[in-house]
Amino acid sequence: MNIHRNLGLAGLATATLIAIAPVMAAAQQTESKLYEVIERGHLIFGTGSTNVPWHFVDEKNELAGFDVDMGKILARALFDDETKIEYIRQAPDARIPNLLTNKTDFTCQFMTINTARAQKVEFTLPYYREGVAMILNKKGPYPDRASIDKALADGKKIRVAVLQNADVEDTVHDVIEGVEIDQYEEQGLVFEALDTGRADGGIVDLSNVLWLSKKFPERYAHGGDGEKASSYGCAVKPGDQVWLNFINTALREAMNGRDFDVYAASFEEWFGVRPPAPKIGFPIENR
Amino acid sequence: MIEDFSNTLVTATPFLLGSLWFTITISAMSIVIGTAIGLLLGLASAYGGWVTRFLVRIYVDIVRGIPGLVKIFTVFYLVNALLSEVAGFTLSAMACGVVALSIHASAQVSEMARGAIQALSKGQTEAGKAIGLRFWQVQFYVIYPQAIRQILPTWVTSSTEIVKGTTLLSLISVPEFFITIRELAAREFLYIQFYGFAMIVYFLLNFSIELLGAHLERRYSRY
Amino acid sequence: MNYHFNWKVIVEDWDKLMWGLLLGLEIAFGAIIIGLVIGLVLAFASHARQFWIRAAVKVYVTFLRNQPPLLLLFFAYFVLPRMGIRIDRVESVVLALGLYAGAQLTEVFRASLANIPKGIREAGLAIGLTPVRTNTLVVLPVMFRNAIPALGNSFISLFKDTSLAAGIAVAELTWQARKISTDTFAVLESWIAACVIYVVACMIIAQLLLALERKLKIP
Repeated sequence: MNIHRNLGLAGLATATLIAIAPVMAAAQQTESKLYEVIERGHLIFGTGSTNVPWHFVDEKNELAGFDVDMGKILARALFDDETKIEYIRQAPDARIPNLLTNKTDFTCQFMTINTARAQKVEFTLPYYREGVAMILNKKGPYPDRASIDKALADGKKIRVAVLQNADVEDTVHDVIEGVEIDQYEEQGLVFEALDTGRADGGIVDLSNVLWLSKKFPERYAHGGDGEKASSYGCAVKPGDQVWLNFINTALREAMNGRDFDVYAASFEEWFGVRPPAPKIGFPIENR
Repeated sequence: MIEDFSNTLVTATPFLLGSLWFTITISAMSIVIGTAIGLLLGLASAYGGWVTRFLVRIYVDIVRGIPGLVKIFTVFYLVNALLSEVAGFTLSAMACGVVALSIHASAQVSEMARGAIQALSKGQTEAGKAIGLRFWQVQFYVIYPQAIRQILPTWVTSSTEIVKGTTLLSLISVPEFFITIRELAAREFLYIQFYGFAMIVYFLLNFSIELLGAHLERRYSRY
Repeated sequence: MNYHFNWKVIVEDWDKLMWGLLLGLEIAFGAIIIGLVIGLVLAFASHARQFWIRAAVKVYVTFLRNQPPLLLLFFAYFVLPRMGIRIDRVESVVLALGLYAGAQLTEVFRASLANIPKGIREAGLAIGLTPVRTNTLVVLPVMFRNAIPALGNSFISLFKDTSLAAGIAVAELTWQARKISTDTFAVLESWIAACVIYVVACMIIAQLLLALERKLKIP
């Protein structure tokens, strides 16, 4: 009799637990950085401060740039207010560590999506597709691509400056072949070399070439593109599907939906060209 | 040419002053930390047992055998790689700079301090004992004041080296004075003017430290 | 720790590192020669009778030795071409470091000169040598020998400064190490290798200089 009663109680307790468990699990499931950020009232956004046009400090001493604008898109999506951001300025080496140690909620910092990084962080949708291009000095002896090609054909030595990076020779050959490559250790030096004639051309990111040719049209010219493309994505700490889904929703609508105008205006400001408008009807990104 | 430059200089002054202040801050921090560590190491190797002396010797020889730029790159790349693997965080570029420059300074100060203490030690310690002072009293009241006076000129040179070393931090993108000069020179296409200006600024900076050192020397001179 | 040490990449590119080391030594050698010449000339010039010569020497020395060498190097490489003076990459390094060393060696030689007992110069004049010949045949060798330790230190210092050339894409040791690091991601290995090579090289040079000093010492 005692045994029966104890078994009965045990059975009741277990049944209760089994019943409550999904509810408890559901309560656990709604824990996400998304709610944490909303409750906090502002987004902690990590980005750099030294790379025009992605993230830099403007004359008003504020952070500006395409990456910064992505942060603002998310802030607007969260709070309808693009000023509700706390900026954490970080060097590229700190992008991933800062996410993993919760110093930042979200990072957009011209981060190339690659599988090695994808093992450490979770990437959002790509918000830009980058390529390599050559930048030329209009005030130098080779103001356009034709003159360089001619010089190469004539057997003259052409020198290009590039940032020392993995697979840099492949990157350069993507844009132009048969040139001598000078690998510098800091991006600014590449432009200094071009300006002072120490290099006949510079191989840099397409976004840099677009920005500089737009800002200084008398000084810089666009000298051809490479074909290899790489995607830039924003990143978050892995394991938070709710947060990632929300960010992707915000970005997707900015690139393809209701918030397109904001994205397009930003794109045009930094890259000098307006992206194609989303076609109505069938969502073409599903093709 | 000069007019463009003066105009740009005026608008850029806040940036330049900010980055100059940053350079001074980094230099000051590195000099202070480096000197503190160096004095301790110098003391240790002047009075320590052979194990301590050996270890300090190895530290000094290794640190002095590595060029400043390589030290900076090593801290920035190698130490950060280790830190992110083992401890999950990395040092900012500025922190790396301060660490590398402090280490550089510490090795030099250590040698200076050791030399000075050893040169003074014997005679002065005996004299101190003779008039009844104990070991630590001899240290504080007799040896250190003289040792500091003796290393002052070399220490000043070492400090100007640290200030000059901050320019190397531009290669790891620390927003110090030199990189700001170069950014402005590139943006405004006024290379000669901005570089010339930078030379004058660095000259004034280092020369002031020299003058300060000479002044301190005179003030604390015995005669 | 999950890091797997991959020394193979260092062994594979060992020759590039050694060529880089050699280039650094060559640059240091070129720079010390220039510095030596400047130092000797200016050390004597600082005893000139004309005030403006002495002042010019003082200005050169004080201004140049307070400059960051990297600034001088970038000036020689980026700015001189804009002023019409175009020198090759490696020559720019040698020039910049040579001028920098010249400022420091001037002081070294001046101190060495001051430490030479007056008697030596008087003896030279006494045996009928002209002042110029006295200086070159008698004073100079003595001054030189006294300055060798400082010269040696200067050379080692210059050798370490050649690492700055990596900033203008000169393929010396530091540049090679960084290239291996960025190409293979073997960050720890490359920088350990670079540090070790520099330390060992400096030690060897220091020992060689010590031996040289001992050989040239007057018994």
